[in-house]
Amino acid sequence: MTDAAGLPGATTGQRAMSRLLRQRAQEFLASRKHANNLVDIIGHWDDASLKKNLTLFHSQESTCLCLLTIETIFVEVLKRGDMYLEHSITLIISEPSPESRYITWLRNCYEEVWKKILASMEKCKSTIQLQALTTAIKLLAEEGKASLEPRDQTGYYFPLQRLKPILMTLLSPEKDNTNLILRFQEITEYPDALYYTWKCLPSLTPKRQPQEIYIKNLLELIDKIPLPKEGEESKVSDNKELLCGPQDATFTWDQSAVKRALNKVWGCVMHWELTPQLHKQLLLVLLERVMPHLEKPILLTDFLMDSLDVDGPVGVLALQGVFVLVTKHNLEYPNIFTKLYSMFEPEIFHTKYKARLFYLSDLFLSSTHLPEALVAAFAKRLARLTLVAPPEDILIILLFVGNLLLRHPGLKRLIDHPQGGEVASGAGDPFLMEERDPLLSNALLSSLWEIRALQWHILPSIASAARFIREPLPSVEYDMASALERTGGHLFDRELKNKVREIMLTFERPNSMALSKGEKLLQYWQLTSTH
Amino acid sequence: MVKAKRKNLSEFAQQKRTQNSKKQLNPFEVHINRDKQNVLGRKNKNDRGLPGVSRAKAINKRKQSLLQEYKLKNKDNVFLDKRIGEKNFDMSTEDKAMARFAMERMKMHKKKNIFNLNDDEVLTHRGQTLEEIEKFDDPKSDDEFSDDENVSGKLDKNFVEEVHFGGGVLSKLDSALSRKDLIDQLITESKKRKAEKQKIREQTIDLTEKLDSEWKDLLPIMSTSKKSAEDDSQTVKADAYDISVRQLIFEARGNPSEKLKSEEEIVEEEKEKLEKLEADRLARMKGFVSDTSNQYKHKSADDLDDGFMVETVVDDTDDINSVINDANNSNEEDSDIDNNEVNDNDINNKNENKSENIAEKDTKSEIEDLNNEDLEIEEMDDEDSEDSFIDLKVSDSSEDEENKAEKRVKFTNNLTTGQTTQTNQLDQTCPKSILKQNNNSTCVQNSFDDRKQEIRNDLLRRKEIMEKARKELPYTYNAPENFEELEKLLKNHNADYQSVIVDRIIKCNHWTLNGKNKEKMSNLFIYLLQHINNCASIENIDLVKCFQIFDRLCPYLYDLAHLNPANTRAYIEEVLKEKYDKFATNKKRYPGTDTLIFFKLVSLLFPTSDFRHPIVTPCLVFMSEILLQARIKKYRSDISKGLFICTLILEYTVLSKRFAPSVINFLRGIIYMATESMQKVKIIPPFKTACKVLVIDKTEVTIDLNGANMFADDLVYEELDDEFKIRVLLTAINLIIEFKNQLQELEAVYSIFQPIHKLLKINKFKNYPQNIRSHIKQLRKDLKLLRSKKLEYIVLEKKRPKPLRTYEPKIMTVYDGKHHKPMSKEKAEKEKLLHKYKREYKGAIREIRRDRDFLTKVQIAQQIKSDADRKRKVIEIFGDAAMQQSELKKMRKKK
Repeated sequence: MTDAAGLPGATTGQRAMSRLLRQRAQEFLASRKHANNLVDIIGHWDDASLKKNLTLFHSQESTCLCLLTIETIFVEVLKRGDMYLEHSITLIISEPSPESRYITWLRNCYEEVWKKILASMEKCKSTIQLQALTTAIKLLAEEGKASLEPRDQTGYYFPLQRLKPILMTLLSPEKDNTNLILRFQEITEYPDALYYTWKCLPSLTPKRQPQEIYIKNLLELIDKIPLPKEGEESKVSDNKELLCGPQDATFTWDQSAVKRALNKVWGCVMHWELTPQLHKQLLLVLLERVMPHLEKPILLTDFLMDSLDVDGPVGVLALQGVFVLVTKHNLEYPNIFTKLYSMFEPEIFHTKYKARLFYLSDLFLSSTHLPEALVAAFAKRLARLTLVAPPEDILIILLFVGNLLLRHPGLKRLIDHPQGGEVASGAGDPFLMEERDPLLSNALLSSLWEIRALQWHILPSIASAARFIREPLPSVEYDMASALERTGGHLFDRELKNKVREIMLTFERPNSMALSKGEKLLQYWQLTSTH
Repeated sequence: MVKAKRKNLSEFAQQKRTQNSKKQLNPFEVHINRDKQNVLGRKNKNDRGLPGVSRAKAINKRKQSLLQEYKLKNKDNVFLDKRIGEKNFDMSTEDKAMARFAMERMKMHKKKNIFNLNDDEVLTHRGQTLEEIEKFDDPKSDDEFSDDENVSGKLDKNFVEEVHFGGGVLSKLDSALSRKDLIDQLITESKKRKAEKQKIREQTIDLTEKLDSEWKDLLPIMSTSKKSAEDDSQTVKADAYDISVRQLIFEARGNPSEKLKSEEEIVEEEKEKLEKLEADRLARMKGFVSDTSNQYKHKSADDLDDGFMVETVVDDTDDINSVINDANNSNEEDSDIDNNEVNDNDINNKNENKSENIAEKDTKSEIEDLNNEDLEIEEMDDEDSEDSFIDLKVSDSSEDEENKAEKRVKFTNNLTTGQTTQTNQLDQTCPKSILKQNNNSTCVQNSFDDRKQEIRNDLLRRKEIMEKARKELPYTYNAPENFEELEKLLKNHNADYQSVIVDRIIKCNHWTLNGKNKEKMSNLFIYLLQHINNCASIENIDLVKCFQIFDRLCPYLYDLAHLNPANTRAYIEEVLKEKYDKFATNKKRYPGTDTLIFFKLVSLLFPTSDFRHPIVTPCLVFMSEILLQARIKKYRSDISKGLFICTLILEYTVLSKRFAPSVINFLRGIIYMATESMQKVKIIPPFKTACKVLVIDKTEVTIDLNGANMFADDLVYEELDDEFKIRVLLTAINLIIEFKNQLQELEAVYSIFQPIHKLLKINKFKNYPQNIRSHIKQLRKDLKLLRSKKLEYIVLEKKRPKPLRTYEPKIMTVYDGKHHKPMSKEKAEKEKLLHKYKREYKGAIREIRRDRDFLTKVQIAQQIKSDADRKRKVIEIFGDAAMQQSELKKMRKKK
């Protein structure tokens, strides 16, 4: 097997090798006579991983093969309990029996293999990494079922000493392990694995500032491993499928311990410095996963307040956090509406989080006890934004404004002024777009002329949606949720799908590119002649 | 008096008689149904009944129907005696026979065809129908055969009598021959007879034939005199009268048609048609907004307005808008009508000219023709229709090109030089045509005298080229079967030639000529689309040429589109979808010119002012998406494309005055890019904050403010120069002015243009030419004016107070005392049917129950009867037995 070996030759070589490895494994498992086969296989693995005389492709292949072989061997060995060693505290230092020497040797080999597996999880290519992780997990499961040593305590046994290195490699500070974490997520289906993973995590979280990639991996891991909500833990503990089961001792799910572990981890995490990217991820994980389990979410206030001041998605996410605090934990934050108000800038339409923002602000403004001036300012500002917004957002905003008008009957003056007539305060719109404070923006002195302008929007769907201000408002709120899910592409398709009976054509025959009426293109463009 | 009394008496007597004839009701049979609530005046049918009588009736009925059926139960068939009068005991046997015979004859009669007017009985003679005999198919007369001989070759009568029936006692005893000999003799005899007969027949036939042939020989001699006369008449030439008569006979009759229309009428009609189309367009433009707003439905004087009529929604904004629109439209319409009138006159003139051409082949007409053209050119001062008529002209004249093409060319060549000068003079002397006055107020109208001159020259030059093309190209083309064929035809020709080729393809395969051509032409439409697409999408192509081709092909695309609108829609939709999918793969990149050119085509083929249109609306979505999402990377071409789309959106919306945020945003971005000041100004994403590519240093470039300042090449070139920057800025400013004018009526207009105004305030545009600076200043002033616009609060349109209901008596056509629910006619009908069905159902159940009762009664009666029978028989038997016993005992005793 040299570098010059072609691919087909190589594959046949591979096949031969796999057959050889399988045969050796069989022999090894069949009788102890062939104990040295194990050494051979491990040696082979060394060769492969060191790429001594193999091409990259071959080394990968053979590493993979070796992993599989090792896996079959040790799963079998563990099942048989060949490595079980009785702790007999003998006072006499006697010559160890061949039996015990064999076991010791086997265990050494086993430890070595573990090291190699972990190493290949770190360094090799992603397929090998995944294979190594699976192998590791399988071995871990087998070891959990039949431990290597007699146990003193009678509780549920889980090979923590194996899980920890795995987690350590997953949380590597050097490289992004998203793939592996995704695979690892699979075993967290088992309650015992999940439980012990959580138990391990605090010890793996450093107090001091760690590497950036480590933080990323950790956040990824926390995001992926599920944490049952209050009241749902019984569902988890009812799950009888255990990774290392069945054992004599029953496994019990300890919700409070897990929560404690999470809090401990998060306590550390909150002290770290974050890049904007990580900040966003952290907020996401915090909101989606961690927040409901924290013991004192109020402690997050400062963090969220700081985050609120950051522009863009971080601000929106922080807003969501603050919202949870305000609604569930009695946080009082007087300027929250000013903050929210300032978030509605034209730039918001080009961020990914606009749907979230609309959703949140809809929630925030759902209270009917808000001052009218405040809500009016929101409505007016949103209406102002429609003048620059993309079509799909205009539709959302129209629904939103409609809902605001519905909730606050006082806002009717925006579309139906009680006195009517001309605007008193001099000329122009009395609304102040630049004013930061919604209460000072004079919104109540204005009318929603912007929506009337939208009645002339080029898209018929928007133009007809904007007509709602001409009719009496409905009694039920508009459904915003479905509108939030839509994207821009649907408008085009929907308009194309619009079936009509008759297709209208122009009735004036053009004699050139110019329209006979209202030609504008040729007024500004010289297209048919060179200048 | 007496008489009257007598009469009365007689009437009375008659009445009495009828009453007597009516069955006297037995009062014990009458049962009176008691009414619980007696309603005065209501007539009740069912106040009394005759239960006994009706029961008896029902039982009788059942006996006739159900009982019969019951008797026949479990029997496979019935023996029905259908002999006539068999069951009738009144009839004697003779009567029966008579009746039967009559029936038979009737049956015979019935079977005949009802249309047969002749006697139904066929008369025969000797077994042949008279009809057959009358045909004289076989002209052999009876005397050919002797009486003894049989006709048909069947056995002789005597023979049959003798041999078949002549046995027994009556037979002749002298027959000495044995049976076998007899038979042999028979056979030989019959054979001989047959042979003789055959022979005789052949002879007769021969003779007849001979006679016929001789007759034929004689025939010419008999008919000579007649024939010679005929020959003479043939040689004489048909005189004119005959010819004309015959012509008149065979002339195709003209179908009755409407009265020929005078020119004025035709013009009038044309005008009406266009007006109607325009009105339709306006209606569509408004969409469903105010379809009721400007037309009040007729209301009667005593309309109570109590909800029985659809209320007309009166919306003041709409009113205003509609008024404005109306005003504009009336302008437009006026101009339109004038336009058309002019157009029509031209056409008429031309038609006249053409006819003259055909009739007289005079060169004079040619000159006139040219004069007409020049007149036209004058009338085309309106910038919108710069060169619109020449093509029409050309296409008209192309019809008679085939015979006169060469001549025409010669004349035009000769005349053009002289004519042009003349036209110029004319132009200067009477520069304002009717159209001029009607120009739309929104248009920035400037005098384009030199340009017009240029255009005129250009047109004449083009005309020349076209004529040349006409001469050079072949006259007929087959419709291309596939795109490659078309490409082969059009390859290596310039735009004018291509247009002539396409024109000829359409002419040669016009859909009125052949049914299949329709399909071919629709395919041609696709190929042309593909052709334009290919022209525009090839890299580094001369875009000017591409636009020229497009320009020349437009009229034909229009024609083909009108051929089959539904197909056109489908094709354009396909193209749009394809382009959109291409764009959707990377929304950050501007699409190519091939996409842009189709947007223009859409505006040519479809009415862009419609509120919602299946092609135009997706186009608008597409364009605004491009403007909102595509990023400016290749500065010159991308900016140009953006501006191109902006101009197109302006064109799309110029009639309907719609508002497109994306365009305003894009123009804002352009201004932003030309702003050097580094103050903090926010800009919305497709543009980047630090992007200031359009800022220029001091230059000397001067540019005409009102020209068409963007060029086709700008869509392709990459590198920026100061001249381009100035042109872009100027075009953007011009577009902003256009949009400002368009949106002026909206209350929120200042809010729309506020960001642009802010940018313009910041920027001093020091480095730009003076005229542009003043132009911008003007715009700034205008925008400032917008800010101080008086705004009126939005007030919901007041609902008209509903008048109090007046309660009128409810009039019912038929009063039946029941309360009818108000329901629709269909529903009432349904209810009625349902009610009927229920009643029928109940009735049927009741009937069935009674049937069952009846049957059980019958069965029980049978049972009882059979039991009684049995008992009687048993008793009888016992009695007999007792008798016997007693007799036996008696006997014994006797012994």
